[in-house]
Amino acid sequence: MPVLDLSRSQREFIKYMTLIGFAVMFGLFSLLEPDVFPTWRNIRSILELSAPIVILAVGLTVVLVTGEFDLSFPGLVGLAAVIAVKTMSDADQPAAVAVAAALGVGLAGGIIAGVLVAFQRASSFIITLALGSIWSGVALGVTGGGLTLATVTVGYTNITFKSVFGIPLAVIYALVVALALFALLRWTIFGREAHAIGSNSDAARLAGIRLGLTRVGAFAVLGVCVGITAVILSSRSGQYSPDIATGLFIPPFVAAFFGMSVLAAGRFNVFGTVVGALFIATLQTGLIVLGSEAWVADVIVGSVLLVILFLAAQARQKA
Amino acid sequence: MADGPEPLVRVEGLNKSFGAVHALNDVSLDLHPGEVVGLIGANGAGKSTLMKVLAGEVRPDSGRILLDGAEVRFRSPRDALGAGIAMCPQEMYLVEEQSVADNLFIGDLPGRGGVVRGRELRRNAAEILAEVGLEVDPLQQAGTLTAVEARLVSVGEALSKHPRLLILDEPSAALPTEVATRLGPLVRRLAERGSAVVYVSHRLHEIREFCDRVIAMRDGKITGRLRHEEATEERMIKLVGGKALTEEPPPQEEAVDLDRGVVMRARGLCGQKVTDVDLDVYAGEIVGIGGLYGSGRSELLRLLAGVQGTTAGQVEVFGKPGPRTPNQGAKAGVGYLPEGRGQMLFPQMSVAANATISVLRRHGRVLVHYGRERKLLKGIAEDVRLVGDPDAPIQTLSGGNQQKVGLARWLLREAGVLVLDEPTVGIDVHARAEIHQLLRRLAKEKQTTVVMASAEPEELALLCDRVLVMVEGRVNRELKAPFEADAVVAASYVATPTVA
Repeated sequence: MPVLDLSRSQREFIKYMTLIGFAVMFGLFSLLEPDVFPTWRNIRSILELSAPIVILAVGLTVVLVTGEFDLSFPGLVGLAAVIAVKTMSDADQPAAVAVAAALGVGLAGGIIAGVLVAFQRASSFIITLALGSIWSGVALGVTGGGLTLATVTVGYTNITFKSVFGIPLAVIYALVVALALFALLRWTIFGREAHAIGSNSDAARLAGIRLGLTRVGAFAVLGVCVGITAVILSSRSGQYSPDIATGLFIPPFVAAFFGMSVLAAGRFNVFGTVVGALFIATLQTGLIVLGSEAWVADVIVGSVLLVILFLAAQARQKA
Repeated sequence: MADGPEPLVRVEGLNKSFGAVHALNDVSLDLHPGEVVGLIGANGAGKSTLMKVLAGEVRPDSGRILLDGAEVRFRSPRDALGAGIAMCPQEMYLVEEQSVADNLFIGDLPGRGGVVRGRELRRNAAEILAEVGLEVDPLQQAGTLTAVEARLVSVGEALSKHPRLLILDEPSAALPTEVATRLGPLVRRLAERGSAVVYVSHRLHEIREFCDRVIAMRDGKITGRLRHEEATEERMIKLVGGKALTEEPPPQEEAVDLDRGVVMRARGLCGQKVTDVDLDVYAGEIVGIGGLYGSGRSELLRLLAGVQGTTAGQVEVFGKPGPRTPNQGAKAGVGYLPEGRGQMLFPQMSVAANATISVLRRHGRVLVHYGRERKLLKGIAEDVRLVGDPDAPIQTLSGGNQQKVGLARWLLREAGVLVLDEPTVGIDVHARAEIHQLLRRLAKEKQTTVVMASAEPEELALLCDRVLVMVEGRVNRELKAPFEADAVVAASYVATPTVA
């Protein structure tokens, strides 16, 4: 039956369309800028650029899997970075303490978001929107109204300065986080229960799953990812500036939603999210190499998300 | 087949596949004005798909639909409505924030220049409500309706389109018998006015009573067409399932040995509706909770299982204070399954993941123990007679098999008490018989205690050692097996005066 064959090839196409799109985009940039784009140097800088997005996006994926939403992480990145830099500049503490402070702030912020979402049972959308505003406000206040803090130790800049086998450390951190969260969602009981809650929270409750605990856990995981991101960003730039989290709000969401369409997964997944984050970084870098202005990338990233959502809805109808 | 007058709707050679599932396989039929046609078949036989094709919700892969002899192609439910085909779907959607009247005429509000004409709307709504025999204020918010009232409103919504073909997809599944019987005269009146009606149901006695003829489906094909006088329950069962399977009531000498001790005890139990219920349930006993909709059946189960908070009174399970959350319930050996599959299953997850979700923490602290999961699953699949691929998405299973997965979840957890709300609602006769057999076997061999609510007196009479019939939140009567289904019905209505 030709009808069936057609829909099968359609299904195959839908399965691989995002990966094909990725390859086509890479090929296109390489053709247009053959001397710059397809070089190890450039690929390395794409990877390095994508590291913070990857870490935030996979953390966000864990929250999205439970059916919740988080809008507070960009504000929390700023706050965690301020506190980290302050521990060195004002309190004269070594880099290790600064890192611990950033992770602690991230974890605490995540737990607060999780507890409010889990036990207030208001929409996580609104709760985290409010929290995000609070975190950025506090960060501004701590710096005395948006000053740049530039006193970091050498040990702190070394966290991201070095490379291993030519691979920047930040990329390795991102890889480790992504692998850890892949394993968390795929092989742990927490992961199974998180999926169950996201799939049907009423059924999850009646099956004896402790919803509150799992939700808090998911937000805490994102919080730690926020802390790691804050360290990478402030270490790399050697300072805290108020615009440290600029450009980190939309891309993690795009990456996660993009991830739903990778291999037609149909649900949030860490592997897809990583592919999505790399896609965005490649697109942004390619446009910069071509000499386009920054706003072009924003428009294109947003358009890509719309197309992906549209195609995903089509695929769901066909399936 | 095509003798007599011109059919209103003719369906020719419809095919529809969902992935590997051939939901409709060369289906042809005629529907004539003025007739009520019963459509029967096991879950997954293709009934709903066929109806959705007629209502424009699903587009067929091939085949034609002719309306008054001319081919039509519906691209959306709106097209079908325009052609005079209205469906009351199995799953209904009411806009809870809006009034009953708004819901009845949603998408088709009377108005002028975009402004709704309130008085006309109310008058039309009152007419429709009278038609379905529902006494509610047209201005009442839909969200405040009971499940039964909401069901009737959704039937009314389809009626409000004055359809030439009305499709009712299992309208009675969520209705108690005494309300379901009202649907018969309703569809008859519609047919007398010249419309055609397709009535989909698992309840064969309704099909017998309401319908002029019966079409049976199985595995996406039409397996038989019966005239009213040919449509005995035996013949219908044969057509939908292959072999007639009638259930025998359990032999009576195996009465439950009450010396085995009380497993679940309630004293002065109160909830929102439930008032002052005392209950002792013994090991290996199957206790039914009967009564009309809104009598507090389902709430009593939720209170016993700790799923809903009590307002007064105590529950004891295995001699300890009863659970206060589903999580505590699972730990205390109480397995609760809600009515229907909507609050039971995880749609995007596999059969395996759905079955083992409550038992994972028994076999590991952090990691899911995949090897053991497979082994557990294999054992339990035999127990509950579940065949098929454990990695398949749960939605690919029929309602009956989905219900078995729900039961498997608590059997894996070795729950000593199963608290089941309508364990066979909307399930075909075979799956239902299998679930009944399973519950009996569990009670007998494993001393599992079952407390179950059912809207069907026949099911309670067939299965239960004892039935508590509820009226207005109180236990009105207790019936011990053997008892007739009629006794449950009788006890469901009038509260027997209590002697202080």
